[in-house]
Amino acid sequence: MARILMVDDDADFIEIQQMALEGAGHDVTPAYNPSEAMEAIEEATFDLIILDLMMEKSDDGFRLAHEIRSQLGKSVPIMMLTGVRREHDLGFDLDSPAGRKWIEADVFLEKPIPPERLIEEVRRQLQD
Amino acid sequence: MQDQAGRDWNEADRTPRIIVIDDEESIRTGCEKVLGRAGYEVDIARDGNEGWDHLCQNDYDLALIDLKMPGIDGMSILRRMQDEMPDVVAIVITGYASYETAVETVKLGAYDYIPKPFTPEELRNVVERGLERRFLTLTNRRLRQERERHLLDLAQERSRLATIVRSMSDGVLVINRRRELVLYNPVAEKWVLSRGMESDAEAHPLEEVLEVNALEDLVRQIEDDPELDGCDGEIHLEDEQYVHAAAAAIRDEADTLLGVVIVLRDITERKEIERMKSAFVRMVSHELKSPLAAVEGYLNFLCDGSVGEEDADRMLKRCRTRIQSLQKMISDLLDISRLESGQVQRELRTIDLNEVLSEVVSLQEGAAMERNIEIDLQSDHELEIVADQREMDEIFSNLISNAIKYNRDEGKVTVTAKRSGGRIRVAVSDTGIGMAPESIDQIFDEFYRVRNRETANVSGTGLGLSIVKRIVDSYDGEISVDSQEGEGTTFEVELPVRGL
Repeated sequence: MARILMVDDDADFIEIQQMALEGAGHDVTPAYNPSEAMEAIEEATFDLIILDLMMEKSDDGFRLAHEIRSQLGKSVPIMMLTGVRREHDLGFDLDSPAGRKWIEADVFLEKPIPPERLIEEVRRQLQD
Repeated sequence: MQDQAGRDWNEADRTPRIIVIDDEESIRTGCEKVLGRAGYEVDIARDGNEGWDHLCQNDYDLALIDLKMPGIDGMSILRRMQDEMPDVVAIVITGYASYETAVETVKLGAYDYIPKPFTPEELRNVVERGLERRFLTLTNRRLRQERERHLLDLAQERSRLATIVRSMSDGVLVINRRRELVLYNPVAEKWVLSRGMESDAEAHPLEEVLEVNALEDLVRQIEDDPELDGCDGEIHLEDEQYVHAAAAAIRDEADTLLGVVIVLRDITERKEIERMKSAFVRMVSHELKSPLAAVEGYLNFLCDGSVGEEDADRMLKRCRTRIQSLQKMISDLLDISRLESGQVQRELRTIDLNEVLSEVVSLQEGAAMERNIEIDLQSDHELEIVADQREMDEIFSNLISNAIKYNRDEGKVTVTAKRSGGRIRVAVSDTGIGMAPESIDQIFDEFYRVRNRETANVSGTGLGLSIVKRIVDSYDGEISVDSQEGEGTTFEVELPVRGL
C-alpha cells in the first residue's frame, strides 16, 4: 500500500485511475493542476508521484517535475504520463539520457494507459 | 547575279544599277550597250538636270558623269552627290583631262575618271573597279551595322540579365566547372556568402566565399554523379531562417559538366506553418484522446459490474458529458477548418445587431439565472450591420456564455453596444474570476483554457474564442480583452457596419 499523488487536469482520468489504484490497495490524492500538486506536497508525504505532461501548458509536467525535484530531491519516484512521446512532438528524444535527465522522471508512460498497466508500473516503481 | 569579279550581288538582292549622264548621244548609247551586255542595269540622262532627278529618285550604285553639260554641270552634280549620297560611286567622263580638273573632281568625291574617247574594255574596267569600291562600301556598312546591333544587343542582354538576377527575390549562385563562383545576386550574398568578399573579382573559389557547407555538398553531389541533373536541400540559417537550395547541373551535349546553378528560396514561413500545423495536430489528438480515454475507463468499470448503482449512474452521466463535449469540439474544429479554408458560405444581408444580442441574451438567461447572474443589455437604437446572422450569433453567444461561465455566483454580465462612425462596438463585461496577464496573451489560441481551481468545473473545448477571433478578423474587425484577476473581464468587438 502506497501513498500516491496523482496530478492531471482531466478529472475523469484521475477518478478512473484512482478507483483502480485504490482497488489495488493504494491511497491516491488527486491534484488538478501544478499549484494544487505543490500544495499537496507541502501538506503530505508521498511514496510516488504520477504527473500528466500536458496540462494547461504543453510542458507543465516538466516544470512541475523540476519543482518537485528541487524540493524533494530524488527521494520520491516520478512517473510521467503523456499522449505524445515522439521526438518530433516533444522537440527532443525522451529515450536519450539527456532527455531523461532533463524531464526528471523515473519512468515515462504513454496515454491512454489501461488501469491494470498503471497498477503494474506502480508496483514496479515501488519495488525499485 | 555574279559580276565579272565573281561577287555575288544577289546577296544585296539586286543587279548593280548605273546611271550615265552625258549630253553626247553616242556616249550615252555606247555606254548603255556595253554595260547592259555586261549584265548591269543602266539608265541614261541627257543633261545635268535630268541626271540629278534620276539620282534623287533611284538608288544607284554608280554614276558616270560628263563634266561639261548644259544646265547643271558635272562638277555641281558631284558636289550635290558628295553632300547627299556620298556612298554612290561617281566616275567622271571628260574630254579634256587637265591636272586641275582631275584634282578638283577627286576633291569633290569622284572615285575615278575616264577620258574620252574610251574603248568598251576601258569602260568595263573602270566601272568594275568602281563597283568593287561600291561593294566594299556596302559590305562595310552592313558589317558595321550588324556589329553595332550585335554590341547593342549584347550590352542590353547583359544588363537585362544582370537586372533580372539582381532583382530576384530568390538567391542565385552560378558556379563554373573549376568550382568557382562566377555570378551571384545580393539575396544569395546576404544568405550564404561570407562578408567582405571582393565584389569586383571575376571568379571566387567556392570554399573561400561560401559560409554554408551544405551548398558545397550539393555541388559535390552533382560533380560525383554524371547522371544527376540536380539535387536540393534545406539550410537552416541564423535567426531561425530556413532556405531551400535547388542545385541544377549544366552539362553540354557530351554530358560534360560545365557548371552548377543554385537557386535559394526563403521557406521560413512555410516551415513556421508546418510547425504550427504539427503543433495543432498534436493538440487536437491530445484533446480528442482524453475524453475517449475517460469514457473507456468508465466503461471498463461498468463492464466489470463491480461498481454500485449510484456510482454506475454517475459514471454513465460523465460518459455522456465527455461525449457531448467531444461532439462540440469536433463541430468547432470543422468551423475552424471552414473559416481557415475560406469556404464559408455567407449569407450577407442587413441585420439588426440589437435583435441578435437580445436573442442571445434570452437564450442564455436560463444558465445565468441558475447562478443568480444578472444580464444587462444596453444598446443604441441604430445597430444595422451587413453580416451573416449565424456568424454574429456565434460571436456573441460565445462571449456572453463565457461571461456567465467564468462569472461568480450572483455576478453581473453587462453587454453594451453602440455605433460610432462606420463601426459598431460591442463590449461584454463580467464580474468573474478574471485572468492573469500571461493568460490574456494566449486566450485566442486553439485549445487554450485557463485552468485552475475556479475553472476546474467549467466545461469547454478551448476553441470558442479562437473561432470568435477568426470570424471577427474575417470581417476586418477587431477584438480586444481587458481583464483584472479576481475582478472581471471585458471583451470588446468592433465591426465595420458595411460588413465585408
